[in-house]
Amino acid sequence: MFDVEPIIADHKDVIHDVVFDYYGRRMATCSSDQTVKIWDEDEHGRWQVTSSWKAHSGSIWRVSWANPEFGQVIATCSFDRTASVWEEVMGDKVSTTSAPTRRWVRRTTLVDSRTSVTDVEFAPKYLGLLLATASADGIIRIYEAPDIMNLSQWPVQHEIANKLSLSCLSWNTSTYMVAQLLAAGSDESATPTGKVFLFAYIENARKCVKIETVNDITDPVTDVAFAPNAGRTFHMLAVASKDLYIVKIRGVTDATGNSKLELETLKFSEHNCPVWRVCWNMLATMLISTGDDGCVRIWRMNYTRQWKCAAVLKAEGSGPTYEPNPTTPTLATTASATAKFYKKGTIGNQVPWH
Amino acid sequence: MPDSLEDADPSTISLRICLEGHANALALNKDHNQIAVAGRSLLKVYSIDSDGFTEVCNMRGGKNQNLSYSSNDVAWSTLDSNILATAATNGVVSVWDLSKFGRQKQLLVYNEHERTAHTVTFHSTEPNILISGSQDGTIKCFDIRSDKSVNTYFSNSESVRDLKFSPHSQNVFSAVSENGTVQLWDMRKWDKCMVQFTAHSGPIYTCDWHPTRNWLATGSRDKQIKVWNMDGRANLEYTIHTIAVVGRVKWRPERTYHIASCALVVDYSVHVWDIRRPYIPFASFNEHTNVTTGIAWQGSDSHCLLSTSKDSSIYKHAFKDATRPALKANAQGASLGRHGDISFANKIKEYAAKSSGASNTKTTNFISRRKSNQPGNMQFHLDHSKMYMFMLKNMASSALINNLDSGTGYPAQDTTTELRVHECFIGCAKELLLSGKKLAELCEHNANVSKKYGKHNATTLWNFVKLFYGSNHFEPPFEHRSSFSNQKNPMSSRRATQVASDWAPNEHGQDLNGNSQEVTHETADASEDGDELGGGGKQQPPPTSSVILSETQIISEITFDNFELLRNGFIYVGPADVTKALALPDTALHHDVQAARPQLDLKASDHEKSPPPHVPSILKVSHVPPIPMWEPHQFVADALMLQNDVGDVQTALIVLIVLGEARKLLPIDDAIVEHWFHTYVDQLQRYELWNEACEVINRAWVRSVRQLNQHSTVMHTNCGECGRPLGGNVGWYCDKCKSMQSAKCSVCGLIVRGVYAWCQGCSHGGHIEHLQQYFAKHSKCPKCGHLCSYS
Repeated sequence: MFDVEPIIADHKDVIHDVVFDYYGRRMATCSSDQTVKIWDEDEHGRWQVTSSWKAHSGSIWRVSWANPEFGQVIATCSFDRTASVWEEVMGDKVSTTSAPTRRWVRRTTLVDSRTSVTDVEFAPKYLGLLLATASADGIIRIYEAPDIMNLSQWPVQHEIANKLSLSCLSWNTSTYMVAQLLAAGSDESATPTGKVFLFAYIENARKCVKIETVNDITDPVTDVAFAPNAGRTFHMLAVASKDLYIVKIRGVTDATGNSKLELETLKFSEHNCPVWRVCWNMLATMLISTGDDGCVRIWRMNYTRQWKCAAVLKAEGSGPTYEPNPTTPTLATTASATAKFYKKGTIGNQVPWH
Repeated sequence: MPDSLEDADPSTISLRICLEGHANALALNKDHNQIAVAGRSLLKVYSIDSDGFTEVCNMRGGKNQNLSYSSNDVAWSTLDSNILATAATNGVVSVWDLSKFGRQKQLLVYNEHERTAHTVTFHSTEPNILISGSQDGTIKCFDIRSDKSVNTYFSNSESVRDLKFSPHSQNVFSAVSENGTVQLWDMRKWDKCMVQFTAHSGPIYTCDWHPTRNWLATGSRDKQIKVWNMDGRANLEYTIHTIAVVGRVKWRPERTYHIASCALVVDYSVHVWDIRRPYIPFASFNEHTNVTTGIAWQGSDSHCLLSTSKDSSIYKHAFKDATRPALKANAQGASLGRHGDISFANKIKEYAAKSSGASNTKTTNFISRRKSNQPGNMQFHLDHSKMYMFMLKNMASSALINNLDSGTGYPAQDTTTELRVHECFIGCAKELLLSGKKLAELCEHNANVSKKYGKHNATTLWNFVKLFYGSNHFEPPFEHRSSFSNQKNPMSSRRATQVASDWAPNEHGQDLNGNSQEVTHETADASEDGDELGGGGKQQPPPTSSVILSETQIISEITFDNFELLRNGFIYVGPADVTKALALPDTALHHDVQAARPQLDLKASDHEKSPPPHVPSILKVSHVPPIPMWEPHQFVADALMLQNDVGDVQTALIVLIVLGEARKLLPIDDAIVEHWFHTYVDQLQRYELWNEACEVINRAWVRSVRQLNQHSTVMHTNCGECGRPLGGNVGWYCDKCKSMQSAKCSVCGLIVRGVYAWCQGCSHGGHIEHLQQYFAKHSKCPKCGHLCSYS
């Protein structure tokens, strides 16, 4: 069971992203009100804002934590067409006895995009201090800080142009068979083509190129997330679109020695509404997806290697109520926030029994 | 570029005006059916049709191209559709008469401004009066019946950028200037302005009066649009933060809170803002490919916006074609924490309620929900987010619930345990043994640990491993052989059975310990159950290999305990191809165990052999088709791969580690093992289990993993005297203050040889034993009083 606790975020507009850091000890939120907030747990385990600042002159879409090896560093991207890198620094000691104040300093602003920067994400550690941005005009830019002690220099390493506007991207942290894999999704609704693209660094050409399009997903994509490295022999990409998708990506080497990707797309339509966000847990054993109706679904893989919805969570008092399925009694709308926890009552016939 | 879209009304239409020069401004005539576009070498009038623009007049048709025609602004008389005025970059204000015959339409030329004229505008009721503002800081008033200015107003600023007549009071106009001030002038009082206030920290480029309220909007280089209430003293009502320098603003007719803006640089779009939600545009028009220089609403039609741009095109935008950045924006944020907690931010959409103030009564909610399907009812400006933290209840309380539930005699459907993967992970990481005991004991221990954390599958796997490999002594692996193990086997397998039955559930309140008869009975029941559950799953012929016994028991236990989990497939034992064998367990169990046991011939090539020749053949059931080759090593490898595929790299890898040399029997690719090692070490480190990670690294036989521990650590040290970073090439000697103070112990004052402990905060330290003693009594640094935290 879950306890639910409403958090007073004090953002003055819609919150677009909530991200835990690498260890799950800190949290960053960003909002249309152009501020970023950093949260830490106090001694009672409650989340408290420890820093809050106006970071952009437009809505801030996403925030990403760098690997802690590089320090306390986050990147933000915004409607104002820039992405910024921020570092937490120790302020001057007020006195020798008190703890030094901490504040976030802008290290750089990446101004290459001509349109809204829709997503930003630090690359996995093994690639160094790398940052990828996706923008609404369909360009992915990969920046690298060659000197990790100097966060103000971020030359563009790669620039990949796409025909469709991009809404999200995700790095693959697993290196098994395929290295440097990057996925991006498009929220274009006009064309009925594949909306998820895979990019990889090609050694021979010395550049990043698009290597695959997931043609099964043609609806606008709002979020993509690679599962963290869990030692699997394949890679899993969760895609939030009109439905939830999980794309299994397997690197194979064919007879001629060329390596290529094999894709398998699984569709989960239990949400019955657009899916906004997908997020994996650290061990890649659990996936959560959030639907437009405010329901959070938790997914797990069972031992027939199938993904099943294990729980549905809904925080009450969050706008239009929604009945998860006809068998669940209608819930009285309460002003107070309480978690309703729905157990899946019935099971479909999708699990083959061996 | 869509030239026309005829299927809907109104529709977006556009026209490319010319190739040379760009447009700087546009103006609409009083009937809103003609548009004048002015630019560097451009002054044209178009009529606006439903399917496009038609050129009516080109006032630059002649050859006389001189600078006085390079227009910054154009204005159309509010009363006479034939009269236009332009403000030119050389300060000339021209008046044009479209009704004039011939090519030369210029009616009047006022060459009075000393510098660039930025703006020109007509009086709203007096047809002959127009005013212009210039870089020279003056505002001039002209009467087109005379060829000289009527009045000059000195703004006392370096430059007047925009002028607008107030729609609310006859003769008042506002002037904004580059020094950030707004002035209100009464036309009749030319000596002094009525109101003056500083509105922005940078130059103001534009202003616009609200059509119905006494509001003035100003746009500035500081990227802000400000809305001032001009009743009495100017009062700031709203501030909008845009992404670029604001070039023009224009209130949207019929919508009290909407205002359109375009930028002077960077941003080519026209944005329409709801001033109550100042952070994100309500709508955007992104068609222009260069900076938008002029915008106008088509009269009182709030669905048609005209714009022109430096890309030399004019657009009539239909509002329905606008993009809505806020709708496209991701409305939710969610993240999974280390404890399985979910933080979740959700956009709350507010809907207009029917004449009811309180929106949280049930009826209102109901109504608003109903209305939610109709577009337009959404209250854009009220969008906000709510944030929640879903916290998994802690293990203790959920375990309690679990016990209570099982007390009622029915299995607890506790999904919580199932979702507490992180706790299992951390617990197992700490408690699973990697070495130090005999294989069988390790397996047994680890099986128990796995069981404790609810990993039934891992438990089963450990038992398999124990049965297959456990009774043989593998150290040294290549010496001990089958004669010895054969004798031992029955006993060990019996013990395994015993162990298994120990775990048999007590859900019926019976102690089944040692009662193997009972266990077998249970087993049969359980497997029947299992078949039912499978919904007619494949019934495989009964197997001969009955290591399955213990497995089946475990299954039965799981089945009863966690019915729900099993049904959902979250509990499962062994790889798919082997569990087919779950059907009727044979009675001659103990002998079979021996048969099924892999012969631990440790030559790597041997492991592919089918069951060895001395299997008691009587046990084979006659109606069984030829038994498929049973390869135990392959089977274990498959099981490990499955564990891993479902995300349990921990068990898979630790089984491999525990197996020691026997792992070489398993057909698992080295690359995968290396991948597993890296993954598991990563995961441990992510959960900050440094010691466990270190142990795994030390046990690794893969070189790249072992090297993880050999990375050097860099320490940055400061001089204890001057606080500057030490150079590092001469130990504790400070180059800056030329002292060796840092090398001395802060407590005893002697130079430290050997272990030197110091505080990273104040850079003081010394002999570790001295510091230990010192900090036992004190909390502050012996040298500077810094609150060193010594632990």
